[in-house]
Amino acid sequence: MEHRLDVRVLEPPVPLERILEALEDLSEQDCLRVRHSREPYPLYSLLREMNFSWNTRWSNSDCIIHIWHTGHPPPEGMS
Amino acid sequence: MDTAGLSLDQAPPITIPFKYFLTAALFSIAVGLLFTLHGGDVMSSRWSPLALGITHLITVGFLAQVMTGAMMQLLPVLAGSPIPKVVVVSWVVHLSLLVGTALLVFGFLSSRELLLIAGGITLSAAFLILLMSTGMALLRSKSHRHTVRTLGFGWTALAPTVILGGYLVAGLAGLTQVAEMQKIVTLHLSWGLLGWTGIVLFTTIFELVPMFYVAPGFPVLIKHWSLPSVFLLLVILTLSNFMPGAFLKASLVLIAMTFFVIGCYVLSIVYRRKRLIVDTTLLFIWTGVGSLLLAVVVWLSGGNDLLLGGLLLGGVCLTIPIGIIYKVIPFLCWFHLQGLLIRREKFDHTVPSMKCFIKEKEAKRQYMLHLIALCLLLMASQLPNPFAMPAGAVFLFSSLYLFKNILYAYIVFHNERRILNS
Repeated sequence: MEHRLDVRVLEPPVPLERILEALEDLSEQDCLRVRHSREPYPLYSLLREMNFSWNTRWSNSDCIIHIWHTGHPPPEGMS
Repeated sequence: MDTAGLSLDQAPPITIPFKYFLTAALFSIAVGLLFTLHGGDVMSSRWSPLALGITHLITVGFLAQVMTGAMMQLLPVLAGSPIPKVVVVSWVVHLSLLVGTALLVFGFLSSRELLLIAGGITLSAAFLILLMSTGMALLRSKSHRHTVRTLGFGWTALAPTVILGGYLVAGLAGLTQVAEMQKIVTLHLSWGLLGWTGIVLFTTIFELVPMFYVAPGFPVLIKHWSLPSVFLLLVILTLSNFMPGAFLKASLVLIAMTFFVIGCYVLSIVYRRKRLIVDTTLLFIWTGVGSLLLAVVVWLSGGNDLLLGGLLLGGVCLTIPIGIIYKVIPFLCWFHLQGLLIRREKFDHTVPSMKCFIKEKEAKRQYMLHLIALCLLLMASQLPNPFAMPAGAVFLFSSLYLFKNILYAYIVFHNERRILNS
């Protein structure tokens, strides 16, 4: 199941806080899709520490980040 | 899987920006002290040894320290690429900048050629290492965004600044004969203030303003092309030394107009922000951009050099970076503690909010002192007596306050880190 989170109009560090909160409740089969106004490089280091995998792509002017538990199948189209 | 970004082990230690920002505040204190003691003499001529000493305390002492410290932390955040061997590079560059600035300024103040040469060589070494390491980080960046390219232009502008500065130092020390000193000084100033400072400062603002104030992004023409145009115009300005004088004036007018348009856009973007709170960082940015716009008007209308210098050095170079420091430090403290919390798995602990590191009330008090000092400085540019001495004294207090605020943020961070490590 894909959970969606839009953090485009939030000021730092709220986007990071919201993403980390959402990841706390993310079950192993699920994936989090984050819509961001910029590529959140600092987030990646935290994801690595928390044993998550991610995929980033740009759609128009939005940065879309898919996050899932490492070792579990990535969402469709992300492998 | 995307592997961009740093691991927390690779992230530059937070002591790096603190070291640079605290040193910058110390140089700012030195500016206040010199101005309090000799303000009237500083205002006698832009060529006086005191004026040259204070100018370099501001540009190389304060500005270079802030911009280097910020860049070492911001490159991983903005471009996803750290400066290679950042700990060693930061120590070497920090120490060389510190010693080089002190030597150069003492050289100006005492007119001792040996100190000038030693300062010039030490600073050249610092900037060479900085340029090489920043260049490597920018080249390695996987981000192809225009920000990376524009930052490259900004740091490249440092090279002619340093080469021309070295040439002028050699001339002052009697090692060589500087032909057309006035033109070389204009080029040195232009590459340093408009090129390096202007491009790096406004590239940072183009990123930080939409991000931290939840404002619309800058138009493509401004964000992608205005600052590279400034770089190109500086190249034309340099080449115009071999052309009739009109080219030199025309290039400078175009650069001034470009910065005027950039300044207007910054104010317009800030006005359209979604986060409507006016915090102190915003006041610093408004004051800095307002000073820039005023400086362009003063220059185009043929106003005097001292007023122009006061607006550019005091109003822009000493003002906008403080706003950036107050925005960047709390975020870095929060981010490093958040990372530590995850690594230590102390999920029952909460990282303090960003507001706890630099209290808004304290930042605003420092801003008020800074603003009063700036107004007095601008009045002193017209009437050195009686305004120069009070301008220096208030600026001294403002700088001490800045130092205290940065130190306080570090103490809060340090205490929280100790709790998480226990």
